Amino acid sequence: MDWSAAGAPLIAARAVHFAATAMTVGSIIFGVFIAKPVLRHHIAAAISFRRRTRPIIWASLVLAAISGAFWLLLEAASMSGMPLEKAVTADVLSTVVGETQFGEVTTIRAGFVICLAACLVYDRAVTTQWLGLAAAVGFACSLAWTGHAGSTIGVEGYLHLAADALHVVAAAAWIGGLASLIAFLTTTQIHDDTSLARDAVGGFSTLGVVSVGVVLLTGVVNAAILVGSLHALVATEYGRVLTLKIGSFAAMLAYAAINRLRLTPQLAFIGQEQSSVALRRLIRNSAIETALGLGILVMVGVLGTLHPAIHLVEPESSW
Amino acid sequence: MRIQSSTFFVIPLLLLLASGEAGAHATLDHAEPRVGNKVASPPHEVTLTFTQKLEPAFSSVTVTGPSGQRVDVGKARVSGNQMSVSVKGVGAGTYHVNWRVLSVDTHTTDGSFTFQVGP
Repeated sequence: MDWSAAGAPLIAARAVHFAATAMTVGSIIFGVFIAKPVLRHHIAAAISFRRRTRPIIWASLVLAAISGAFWLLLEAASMSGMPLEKAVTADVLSTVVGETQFGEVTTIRAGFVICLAACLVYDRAVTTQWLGLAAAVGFACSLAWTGHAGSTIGVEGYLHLAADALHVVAAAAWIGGLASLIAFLTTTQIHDDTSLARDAVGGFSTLGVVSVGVVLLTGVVNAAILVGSLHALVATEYGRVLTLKIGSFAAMLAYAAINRLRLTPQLAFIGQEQSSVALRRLIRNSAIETALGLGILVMVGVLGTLHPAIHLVEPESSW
Repeated sequence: MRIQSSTFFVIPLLLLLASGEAGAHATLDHAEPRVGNKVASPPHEVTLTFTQKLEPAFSSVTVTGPSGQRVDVGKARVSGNQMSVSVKGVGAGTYHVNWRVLSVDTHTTDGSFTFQVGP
């Protein structure tokens, strides 16, 4: 049996797309649930924060759209079995877009991008803010239909889809939210007012716990379906990449634990040197956490091209 | 504090089992006629069942008879994780089935097997 090999361009396109999606969605979620409530009585700080984050959101959204389009072209080449330059034809692309689940989901996700962009342009109204949040969440969770979860058969398939959709949204909220947290903490007016930083870090800490809880529960479901055993984790290429991901994730959570349990309480010492030092360390640790999170997304880009561990250790005796 | 700290280190170990966007590939679960088996008379169709849902637009199967000629008739029919193709019987001997499928999660796989027709 000859497994088709996915190339570096496909891995790169997937990784960039996941990272850009996480940044976009996480920033939107951070803005609605953290920044807006904390800054509602601090107009100058709110304007300053918006000026810092809005270019990041736009850049991430554009990058997500471009990498998504490139991903579609690479998949068209892979599906048709033709080189990229020959696969980019109206015939092949219309078949991929109109007759495959990946193409249909990509079209829907393009709609989410357009909706989100429109909401960002007209974001003064409360309605468009919530509509933008809904579009962002839809943009993230629809990724589940492009992966393994979308092809799992039977009742298990519905469970897998639900778990994967929640998994993606929770991961995006955490990793993308970290980037917004850094932007928040380094905004001048906020940096000089430790109470704002304390409130935002406290809110993000709660968001982080919820995200971790969701990722944990959905991760167990995904693990049961895709890995199945510790033997599969160590005996396959898929398992070894996953182990590397485990190491990165452990490091990421270690930093999160330090931030939550050690540095956040020190922000309570308003006006003291201790809180300033804690704030600087929080920013540094959050940057390291973000880098680790982006590294994990690259690994997810690789994992998607490998054969799931559970299939490689199962006997093919059902024939 | 110790309990909370421990939790933060246990969680990642469990979390990391989660693969998120992990991709899969459709493998042949079983076929009718069964892979490698012998049947008394030529089948009217060959049905392949895979481990994943398939994309009809990019999934195909061919069947060749004992003398190497194509015996599959018409286009393969795909429904969910099953693919079938009609076959015209040409007598006893070894039939070769070659398949190439695209699973819904965008991975292409191919393979082949044989079955025997005869007493």
